[in-house]
Amino acid sequence: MSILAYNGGAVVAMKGKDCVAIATDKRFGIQAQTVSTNFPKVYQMGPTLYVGLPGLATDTQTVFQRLKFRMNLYELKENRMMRPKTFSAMLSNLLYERRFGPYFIEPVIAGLDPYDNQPYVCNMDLIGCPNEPEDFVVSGTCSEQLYGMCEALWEPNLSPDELFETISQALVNAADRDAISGWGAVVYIIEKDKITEKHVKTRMD
Amino acid sequence: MSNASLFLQCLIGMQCKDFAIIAADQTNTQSIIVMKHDENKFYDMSDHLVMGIIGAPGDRAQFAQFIAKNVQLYKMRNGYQLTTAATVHFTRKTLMEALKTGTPSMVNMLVAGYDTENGGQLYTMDFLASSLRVPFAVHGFGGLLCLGILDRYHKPEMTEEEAYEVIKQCIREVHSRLFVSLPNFLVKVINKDGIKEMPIVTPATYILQAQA
Repeated sequence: MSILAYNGGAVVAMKGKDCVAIATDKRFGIQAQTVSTNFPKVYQMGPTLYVGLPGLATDTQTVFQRLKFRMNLYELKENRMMRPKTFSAMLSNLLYERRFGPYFIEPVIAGLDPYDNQPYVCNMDLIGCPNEPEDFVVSGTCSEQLYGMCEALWEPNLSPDELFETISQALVNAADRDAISGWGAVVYIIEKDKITEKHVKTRMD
Repeated sequence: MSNASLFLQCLIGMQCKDFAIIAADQTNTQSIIVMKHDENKFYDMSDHLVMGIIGAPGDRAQFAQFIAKNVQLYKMRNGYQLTTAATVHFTRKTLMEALKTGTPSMVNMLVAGYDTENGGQLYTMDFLASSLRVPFAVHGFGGLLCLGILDRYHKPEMTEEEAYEVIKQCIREVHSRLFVSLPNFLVKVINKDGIKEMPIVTPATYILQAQA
C-alpha cells in the first residue's frame, strides 16, 4: 500500500463567482483503524488563504509548521500580505527541496488574492509540480471519486451558497465511497470580506 | 522482525475533564522469551506529565530519557515548565527529525498531562511522528481489543474511580482475548495534584474483586 494512503484523507477546492471554497474530511487513521475523527487537513494561512495537506499525517503536520514559519518570515520582512500565487511558489519550492526524499503530501491551495480579489485554486504533487486550473482541484485517497463528483456537479460562476452545496456534495459522496476518508467534514467558503466555516455531518462508518 | 514489539506491547489511555489516565503492560521480551513482568514503561517528564512508551527496549529508554532530561533542562534554564502541548510539540519534532535523518526510533507513545487551563490531556504519537490530542487512544494489538470498550464507556466527565474501572475492563479483555501474555499493567492518573500511581492490574485483581 502507498505511504500516501497510510493515514487516509481527502481535500477538494473549487472556484465560484468572486469566491472560492475548500473542504476537508476529518478522519485520522492508521491504515484501516480510525484513531481520531477530529483531524481536519486544511489550515488557514492568511485572511483569505487556505491550504490543505492530505497524505501522510506526520508530513501534514511538519509541512504546515514549516509553511507557517516561512510565511511569518515573509510577512515580517515584506510587511505585506502574501498572494496565493506567491504562496504556491513558496510551497512548491519547499517541496522540491526534498526532491529525492519527499514529504508524502499532495497539497491543495485555495484563496482570494488580497490585492485584486481574484479567486485562485491550485494543487501539487508531492515534489511540488503546480497545477492551476480554472475550475476545481482534488487531492487525497479518494481523488478519483472526487474528480467524478466535481466533473458532474461543478459549473461556472457559482454563487457562494451554490458553491457550498456543490463542494459539500462532492466531498461527502466521494468520501463515502472510500474506506479511509470521511468521518465528518469541514467546508470553508471564502469571499472578499467573509469566511464561512461549516462542519458537515457525514456517515460515520 | 524489528518492529514486532510495537504490536506485542500495549498502551491504553483516556482523557477526562479533571485528569488523564494511562495504563501500560509491564512485560519485557527478547524474541520469544519473556525476560520480566515488572518493567516500568512510564517516564515522568515533569510533575504533571507522564509519557507511556512502547517499542524496542533500547529505543524506548533512549528516546524517553532524552525527552525527559530536555524538559527538565528547559525548566532549570527558564524557571518555568513546558506545557503539555509544548512538550508534545518538542517530542514530535525530535522524533520526526530522527526519522528524516535516517536514524528512526521505533516507538509509539501516549503522553498524558494536566494543566489548569486545559484540564486532563492525552496525546497519541506513533513512530512516524504523527501526533494528536484525543479523548482516548491505544497502541499495540492489545489496544485493538479495548477500542470498543472505550468507545462505549468513555465520558469526559468521569471520576477517577470510574475511569480506573473502565481501564480494568479493557485489561481484562486483553487478558482473555489476546494471544500474547501481558499479565501485569501499571496504571497512572495525572490530575491537579500531580502524578498518582494506581494499584497494578493483574489477573488476581479480578479474583479479589469477585471475592469482595
